[in-house]
Amino acid sequence: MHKYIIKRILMLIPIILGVSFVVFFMMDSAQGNALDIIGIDYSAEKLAELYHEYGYDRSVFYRYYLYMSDLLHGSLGNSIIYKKDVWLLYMQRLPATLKLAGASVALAVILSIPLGIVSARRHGSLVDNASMVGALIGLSMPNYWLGLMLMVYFAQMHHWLPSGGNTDGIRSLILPAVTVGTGLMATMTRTTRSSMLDVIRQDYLRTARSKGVPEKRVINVHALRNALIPIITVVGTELGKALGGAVVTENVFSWPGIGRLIIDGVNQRDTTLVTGCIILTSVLVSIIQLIVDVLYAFVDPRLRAQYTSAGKKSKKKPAPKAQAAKGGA
Amino acid sequence: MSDTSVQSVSAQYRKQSKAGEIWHRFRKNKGAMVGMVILAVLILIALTVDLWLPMEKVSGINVLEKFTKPCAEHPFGTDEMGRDLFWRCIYATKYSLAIGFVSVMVSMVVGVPLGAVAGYYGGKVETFIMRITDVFSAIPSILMAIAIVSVLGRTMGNLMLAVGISAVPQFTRITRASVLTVKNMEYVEAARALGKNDAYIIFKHILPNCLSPIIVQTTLRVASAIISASSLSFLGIGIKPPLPEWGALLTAGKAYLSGYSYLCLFPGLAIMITVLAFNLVGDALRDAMDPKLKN
Repeated sequence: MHKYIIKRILMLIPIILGVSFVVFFMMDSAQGNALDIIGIDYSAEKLAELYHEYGYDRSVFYRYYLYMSDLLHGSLGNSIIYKKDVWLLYMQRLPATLKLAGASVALAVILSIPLGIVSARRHGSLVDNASMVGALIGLSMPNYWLGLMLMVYFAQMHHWLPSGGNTDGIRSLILPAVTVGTGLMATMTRTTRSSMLDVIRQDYLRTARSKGVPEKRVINVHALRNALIPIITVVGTELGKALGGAVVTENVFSWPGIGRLIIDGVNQRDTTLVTGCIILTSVLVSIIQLIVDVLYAFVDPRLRAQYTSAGKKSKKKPAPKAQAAKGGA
Repeated sequence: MSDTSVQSVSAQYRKQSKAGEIWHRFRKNKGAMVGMVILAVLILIALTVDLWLPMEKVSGINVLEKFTKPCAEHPFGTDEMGRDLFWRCIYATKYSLAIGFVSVMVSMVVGVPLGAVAGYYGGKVETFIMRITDVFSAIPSILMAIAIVSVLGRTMGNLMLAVGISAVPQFTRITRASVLTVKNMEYVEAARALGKNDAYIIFKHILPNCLSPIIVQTTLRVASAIISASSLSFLGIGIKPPLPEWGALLTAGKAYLSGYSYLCLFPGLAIMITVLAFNLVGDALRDAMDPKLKN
């Protein structure tokens, strides 16, 4: 198990290298850089000096080399527009984003898993149909639009909740969390339902019932535990999506998170800032993915056995590890 | 002699009935039918709107009638320049659908061959392609699209490209997975024994048998492409406002949110209904094509 986790952590390295390569080159080839934008105030000599400092008088590869050697020393460089360390800026904004993502995933889990279970148990009933139609509508709504409409109703028409920012404690969290949570809930309800439907028809549930296990226990223990793997997968990917994809919702509610930081960076062509933020977010998402994969093992003893028995034929992922390092970098 | 003719007849029958069976199951799904009707209407509008909708209805400025609330004459109301929002939303169908379809075409054209090659050849080629796919899918797709648009510039073409490229990994993954299930079938071996080259085998024998997950994915992706593109417009890095596209109309209305919220309501509803239709059809296709749910 430890071996597997260490393997997976090592596999993050080529991913990080790849992401940094892709994002750096993309952002670097954008027309104009931050120095052109802030440079209006500077004299020509000062500008030339700055150009030299950031490596803009050399080739892209040189700049990438500078960037990577900084990265290897543990530094993501300084943001040009904020004149601050990117790591510090990111860490300043991260709590707000985590708070929003955590709240919306929690909301979605609490509501959607019971709803999915009920829908599966009463397959074809009114409850089932209603929740499936609801989920489909939730899935089809643009997130930011739902946010705007909630804002109009709850903040501007009735003044029940603040319309943006993060200054009002839990009250300012409600609208953004509901906005992000609705989309997540739709996906999670659908997954829970279909995963439970797969399990519910199986023989061992009939066996459990016929040997007199109470229905509640049949559903909540026997069935749910076996239906959990797809549900955990979805919770993990959706948490990742909530971290990266909250960009839009953060902008609707002026939520001071990473999404706004990235958009600011993009608009002002701050390559260092955007590259750093995207790398860190990608790492975060990959780590969540890793945690999800480890969680599988806790839920499913069959997988645990596979991991511990020196996974030669176990999973598809560890196998091409040797080439992965070469291929990714 | 008679044996072979029976076989060929039954093979033909089976071939007909597979598509027929899918269609039969698809048709029984009420949601799918609703989705199909909505899509048919939308596509018809998108294709013919230039023929019957005079441009002055779409962009005719009438300052006297600005900010008219929804009424009989202007069902969706009018915007800050007195332009009728209903006709603008109708006209925008053309752009929004085009963005959805073209960007998914981009992801398909790039992702499907990559996935097919990875799945078919295996080994180092597969590792190489899939590691790159891993890198691209580690970057959240909306951030990827933002980065691409900001590099290429804000035009409609670049927006489609950005949304399309950010969805390539999904297509690569799905194609590879389903090629893997097909590539060891006897008919592939037979084609190889006949001396057919790899490209022929991939396009003629393998891909046609991998179509159903790709078709389902395509339908569902059009839906999310429309949402992604409009999100980019909303963030101010997509289509520039004068062009009527649902996301851009919504963004333009955002400035007048307090007091004139209908300016945001209707373009959003248009997006929702379109996306809903694609989702309904995509879901039904998946159910109809998934042999697990047959009984």
